[in-house]
Amino acid sequence: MLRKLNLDWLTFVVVSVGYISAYTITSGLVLPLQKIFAPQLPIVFSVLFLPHGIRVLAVYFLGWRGILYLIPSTYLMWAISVYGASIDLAILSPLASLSVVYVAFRMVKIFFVSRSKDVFGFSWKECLVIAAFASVFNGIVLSILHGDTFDWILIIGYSSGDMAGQIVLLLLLIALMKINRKLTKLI
Amino acid sequence: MRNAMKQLSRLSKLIFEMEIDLGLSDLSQPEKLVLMAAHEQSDSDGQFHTHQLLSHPLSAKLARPTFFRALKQLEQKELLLRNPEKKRGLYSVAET
Repeated sequence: MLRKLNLDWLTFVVVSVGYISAYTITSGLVLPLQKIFAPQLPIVFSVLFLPHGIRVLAVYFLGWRGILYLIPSTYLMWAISVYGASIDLAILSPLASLSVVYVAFRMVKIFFVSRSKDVFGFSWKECLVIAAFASVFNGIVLSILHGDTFDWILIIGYSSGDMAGQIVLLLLLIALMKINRKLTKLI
Repeated sequence: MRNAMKQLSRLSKLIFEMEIDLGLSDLSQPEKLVLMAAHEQSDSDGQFHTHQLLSHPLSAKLARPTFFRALKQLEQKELLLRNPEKKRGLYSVAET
């Protein structure tokens, strides 16, 4: 089955560890700080949602397979933190959040990149454009799943949190790579 | 396994491009331009010829001595690797 879908265990482990780590930092560090400094904000969204960055990177590099790799870890974290903490979020929300990233990915590939190869110059810019579209779509979809209507505060909250998460995740990866290079030189 | 390593290599390239593009690396401007051109021109094995960089829009405007000084500095910083067979002008981009 895994071979037929061209999936491999190492990619699954890397993607899952990345997602679970990003989610743990968000729920263990960002959310408590958010509760202290911005208690008026709804608990259903984070102002800095790092897992969105992992979702975008997974789909950017792995295409639709990125969604398959992420389903177990997204539902695991959803079950532990969202369901476990009795936060009111629909069961379809993890799958919806993954699907919108793929829609944004295909949209950017079809509408922008196919017209001009150098439209973004570097792949990280293309990645941020995908993340921006995906964060808006995610905000709309999650807002509808949350309350059956457009709630602008939720849409803006989800979208800005996702986008901030993507940017901060990339900056964290730069910092990690710099540390890795320095350690490699020392060894 | 091989696919996972290939994707991780693509990710590190993306992060490294961002680091250079945002000016977060400790490279001089000519070094950044030469390195970005090298990343763009390199083939699937990471190899490129110096003449490809000399005609690349990013590095073509550099004076020749500046270009070759930047190339040498990038080699010393182990960001570009000279072909071990000493084939003239053949370099490869180091794994970041």
